[in-house]
Amino acid sequence: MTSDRLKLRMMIVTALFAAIIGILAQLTIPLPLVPITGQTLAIGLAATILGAKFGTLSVLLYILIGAAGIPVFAEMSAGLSVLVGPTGGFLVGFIPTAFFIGWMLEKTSFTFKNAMIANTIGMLITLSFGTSWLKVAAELSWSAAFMSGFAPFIIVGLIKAALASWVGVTVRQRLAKANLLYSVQEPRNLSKTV
Amino acid sequence: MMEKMIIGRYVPADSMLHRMDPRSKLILVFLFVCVIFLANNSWTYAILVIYTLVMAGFSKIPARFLIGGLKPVLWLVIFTFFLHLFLTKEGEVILDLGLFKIYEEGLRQGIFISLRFFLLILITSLLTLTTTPIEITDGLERLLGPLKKVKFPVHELALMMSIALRFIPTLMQETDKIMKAQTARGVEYSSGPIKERLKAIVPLLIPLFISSFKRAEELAVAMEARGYRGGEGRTKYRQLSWSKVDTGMLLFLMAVTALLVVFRG
Repeated sequence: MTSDRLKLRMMIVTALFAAIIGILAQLTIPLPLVPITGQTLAIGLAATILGAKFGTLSVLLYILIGAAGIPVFAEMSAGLSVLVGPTGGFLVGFIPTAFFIGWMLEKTSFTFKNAMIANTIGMLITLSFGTSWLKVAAELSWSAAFMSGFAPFIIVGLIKAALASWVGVTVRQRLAKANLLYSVQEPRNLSKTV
Repeated sequence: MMEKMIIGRYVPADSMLHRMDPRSKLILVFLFVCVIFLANNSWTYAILVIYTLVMAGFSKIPARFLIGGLKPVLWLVIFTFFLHLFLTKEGEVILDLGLFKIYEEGLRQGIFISLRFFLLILITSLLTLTTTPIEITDGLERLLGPLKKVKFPVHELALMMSIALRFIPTLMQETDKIMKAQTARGVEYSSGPIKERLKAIVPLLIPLFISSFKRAEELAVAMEARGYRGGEGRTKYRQLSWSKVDTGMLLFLMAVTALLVVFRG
């Protein structure tokens, strides 16, 4: 496949992934105490399946279509207003998170252990962004922002990271078996094309 | 619900804000988000409240849509209000609850910060209520246009955004169909042990990804067959036009900014 044709296919797959993140974000997995939304799961998946570059792009697109008014954010909320609200930083934090997960897994290997480490650090990145925006926009002290935006989510975050790692690695293996990951089979080639 | 997935929060009406160029609306919102941090006393917040109400009036959007935009963040805003109320320990004590003392400064801060969030949410809601997602995409593409010089793929990004917008309803139906098909095969999504329910995600995701890879291939072939060769020299079906109203609105916001600078303490 020539580089231009591969590039077009990757662009479309990335766009479709952005749509898929938006759809998965509406699904909730009922767990005792904390229901987990598909959002975190989908971010991890996009990074695991598409890799750092296209994974990050698809998360960026997800946030853009949400900002443009399509109800793809958690609980069918939408609009730029969600991004500038108190929790907007968490959404923006998904972009560097996806990049980090994709980057780390590309540098190492797509095993559950690596995915778990990557997703855990990714969660911390998301929480740091979210807390920083909360601190600035709500003019809280760092400790108050940490207590309300960071600390309560660490345990849930770890559960989500474990789930995202397991699903990400499983789905990736299956797709690789079905020979569908043309994106990742030619990573060197791809980096030159865009 | 499907309709929401296509036009987003857009509410059709014939108003000044609806007719404005998406570029100017995007610039206005961006400036407003920066400018709002200038406000730090009652006067400046009053100016911003008046500005927001005037803009809401221009939009001819029924109030219930604007209030609807506040709902998802309402609890968080109330939460931050109370954080300020209880954590700020400056000024005079206005209420002594024994365990907590409420200080004047805390009340003031709480009100200001909540007001800031409400105004931010209202103004940004006005953008999505008066502009269709596709208009926003076009506006973004044109505004970011200069970044092409530094090799930032502006056209590609806008194209991907249009594709994502186009395929959300399709992929939603697809997801629904797959869930039903798997349920018919005995997969349980809403009952049974947690472990089984978690495992049920995989047979949902695999077909969804496979079908989207196929769709991507089909769309790519269709685009190539129609001669798509990237952004260079591509013409647009939807044209944007900058009018006097757009310039006027920008000047209006600048006047408001000047007032804020004068009145801020």
